[in-house]
Amino acid sequence: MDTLLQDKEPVTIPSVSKPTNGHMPVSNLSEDAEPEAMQAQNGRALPSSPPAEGTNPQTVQPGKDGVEAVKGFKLRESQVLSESELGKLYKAPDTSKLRDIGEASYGILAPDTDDTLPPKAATVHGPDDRVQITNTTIYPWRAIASLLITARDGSQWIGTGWFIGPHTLMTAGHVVFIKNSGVPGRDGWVRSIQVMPGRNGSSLPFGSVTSTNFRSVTNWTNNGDQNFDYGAIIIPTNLGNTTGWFGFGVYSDADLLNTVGNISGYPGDKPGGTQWFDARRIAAVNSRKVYYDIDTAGGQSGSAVYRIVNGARYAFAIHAYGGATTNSGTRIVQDVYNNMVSWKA
Amino acid sequence: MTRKPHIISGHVHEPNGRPAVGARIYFLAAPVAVADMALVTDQHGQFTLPAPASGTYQLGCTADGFAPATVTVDVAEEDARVEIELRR
Repeated sequence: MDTLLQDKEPVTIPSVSKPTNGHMPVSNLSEDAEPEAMQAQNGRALPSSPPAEGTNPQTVQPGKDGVEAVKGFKLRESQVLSESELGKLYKAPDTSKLRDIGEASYGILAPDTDDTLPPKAATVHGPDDRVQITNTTIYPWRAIASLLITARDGSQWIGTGWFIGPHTLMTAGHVVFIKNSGVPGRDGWVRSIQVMPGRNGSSLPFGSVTSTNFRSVTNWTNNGDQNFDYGAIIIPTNLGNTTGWFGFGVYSDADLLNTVGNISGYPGDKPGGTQWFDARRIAAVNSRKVYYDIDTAGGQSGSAVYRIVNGARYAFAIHAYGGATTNSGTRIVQDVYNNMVSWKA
Repeated sequence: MTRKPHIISGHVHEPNGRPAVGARIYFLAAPVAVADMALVTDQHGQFTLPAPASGTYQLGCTADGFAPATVTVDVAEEDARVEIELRR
């Protein structure tokens, strides 16, 4: 368990490997204003970063089989398939054939590529299995935040973020930087994000804090590549010390294909500001993304896709897209992990 | 070669004709995978969403105090506009 930082303690700068292949971190702050933690450090990254449960955590004890114990939720037996069965049902798209630009979010289409995506996309597949989290004041639910995003053009959006440190929340890249929207004045770093941890309808048990300090990577901000769709929000207070935060790690294909993914976030199709949970076995993975049938809806972009290891929560992807038979998130591979470590403050 | 996305713009109003401010608009179905964001209608009940590809989109609209609404819109060569009326 991490030692919690106090208000005036210096921010530790972790050692990370130099980012490569489009994972070069970028910030909406000017170069001069970039904190030291933004700068790549030499050194070796660890495979996982531990969670913390915050002040007076009253942590929910997870259930069996890596699934959160949420009243009313039951993992469907039919969803727990063998690896060979999963392989028959879901063929992970070859990265080389994926439309490599952010068509799914904001519209640039790469022509002459195979249609690896089905003709109809929907984020709830079959029956809606999501269950509402009614007590959001306890860990891990309070480490998940409802986001109200104000874009450059003044349009407002809702999304989800999750703490990885006292000052840092992870989210999707398209939450902090809008790319290829086609709407004049909208593209670019968003103007501000109001962060509301553990929100439950109109109740804000941990208040809210507004951030104008964001991170993402060049292959998202320059190219809109959905394989690099991840970012971070840095808040000016150490609210994460109170809420706690998620761990995160890099896991093998085989490990992920034997894992149940848990997602809890703030969908727009439910009563305003309420948090909803679902979990299901991971369906497929490739080198950049994780695919799953976990039900989500617009507003859940940026949610942690996480597993439970010895009672602790470790994220392995950042939810970003809704698809026809599977939803998907940006996989935490080594370069993503390294950036998360460098952004964690 | 890349293509600029089409735009789905729209207006949401209450049964009495007043603009629905703060309603949440999101994709329920789309021809391609879409970002899992939801847009909030502005002070005039207006919204503008990018449609990444030509095809049929189903939009959902949720506002507290009203029943969820859905609307289906075909986006071909031109931008599309929709009107959504909320019901209690």
